[in-house]
Amino acid sequence: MPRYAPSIRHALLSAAVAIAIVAGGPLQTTARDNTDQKWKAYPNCCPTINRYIRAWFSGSFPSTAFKDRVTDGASRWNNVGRDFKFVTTGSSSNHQMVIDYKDLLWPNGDAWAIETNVKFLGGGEIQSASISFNSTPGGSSWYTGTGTPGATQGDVTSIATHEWGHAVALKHSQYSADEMWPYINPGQIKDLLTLHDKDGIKWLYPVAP
Amino acid sequence: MALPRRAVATASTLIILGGAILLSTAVAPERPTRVISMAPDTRAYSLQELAKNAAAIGVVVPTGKSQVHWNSAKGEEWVALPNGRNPMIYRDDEFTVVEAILGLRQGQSITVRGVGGTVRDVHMDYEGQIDWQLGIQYLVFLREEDTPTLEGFERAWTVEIIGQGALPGDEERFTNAAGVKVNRSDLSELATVAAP
Repeated sequence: MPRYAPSIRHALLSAAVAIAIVAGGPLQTTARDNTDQKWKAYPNCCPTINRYIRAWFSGSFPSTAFKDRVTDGASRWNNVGRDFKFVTTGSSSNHQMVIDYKDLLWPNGDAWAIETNVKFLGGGEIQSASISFNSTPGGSSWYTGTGTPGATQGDVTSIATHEWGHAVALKHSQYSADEMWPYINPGQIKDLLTLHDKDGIKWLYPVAP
Repeated sequence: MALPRRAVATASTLIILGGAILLSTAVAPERPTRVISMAPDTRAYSLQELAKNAAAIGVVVPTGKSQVHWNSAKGEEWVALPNGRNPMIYRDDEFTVVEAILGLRQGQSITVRGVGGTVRDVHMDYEGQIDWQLGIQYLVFLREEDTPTLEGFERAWTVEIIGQGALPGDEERFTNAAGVKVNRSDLSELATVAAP
């Protein structure tokens, strides 16, 4: 064997590692795993909570009751007692979220609603979010009451509760009983959080101060 | 004068690893700095509804050819328009039809548009989209849609109902995320459901 055989072996091993680094490139963002993003805390922002998220009702809605049911959905999450609070408002000043009602185009034309979060890597916090309710939800209409929706109606409270779940940074659940299960059918009411739903935000957010 | 073996080994290691890291930085794709996560929510569609609403049905396999781009002619990000058209990252995936059921030909190549992917420093994640896997067969329910762009609309084949119309298959059956199942032995019946 050559005199420097151990060194050569060492070098060959290093070369193999080097090839792996080049082939693999830098660490890629695991964007699908977005449960690690959460709203930014603003210490000393507010007397009782650090994440005080103002959501602006933008544009026209079919009724005041529609907006009331959307606000009801937010309260489901606020009541869990973690360090965030959604507040809906008719004012555009100092808002972090936008809520609107419009005819959604492809790919959302069949959806009840779509929630969008934007975050920048590095800080890792959600910077802004929006919820858009579809004015033409796939042959169905909206139910804005607090009772039982008709067989072809989508329950605003149930669907809004689900959307707020996305806004607080939860992804879809694989368990059909959860609020965050991705499908809700006309006539269905689903506005109560399961333990699994609550565990998702307990993992993300500390207890409210 | 012979160099100490340990010194040679250490020096060679540092040189090779340092070069690799520099090369990695130079040739690697740009890492996204902004992530847009979108979560649409729908009702669950039945097999009959998927079939009735489809313009084409077939079993396809991904070829691995894919183009990811912003939905503008220049391929650049743009600002949302008041008419509801929004900047989105589209993904055009190519497939080969291995079993034609409705509106397709066996062996045909077809491109299907979805949403999501990375363009330069922006990643768009659209929940419910199918993560196409090479080597897997998919039963797909397709329809042509006017997909919004900055300039207007582009007609494109799309999977029905945000991914519900794509069912990955195993040896016996195809199943989608909403729980719709189709046995391979029942595929030919879909054409009669789709076109009564």
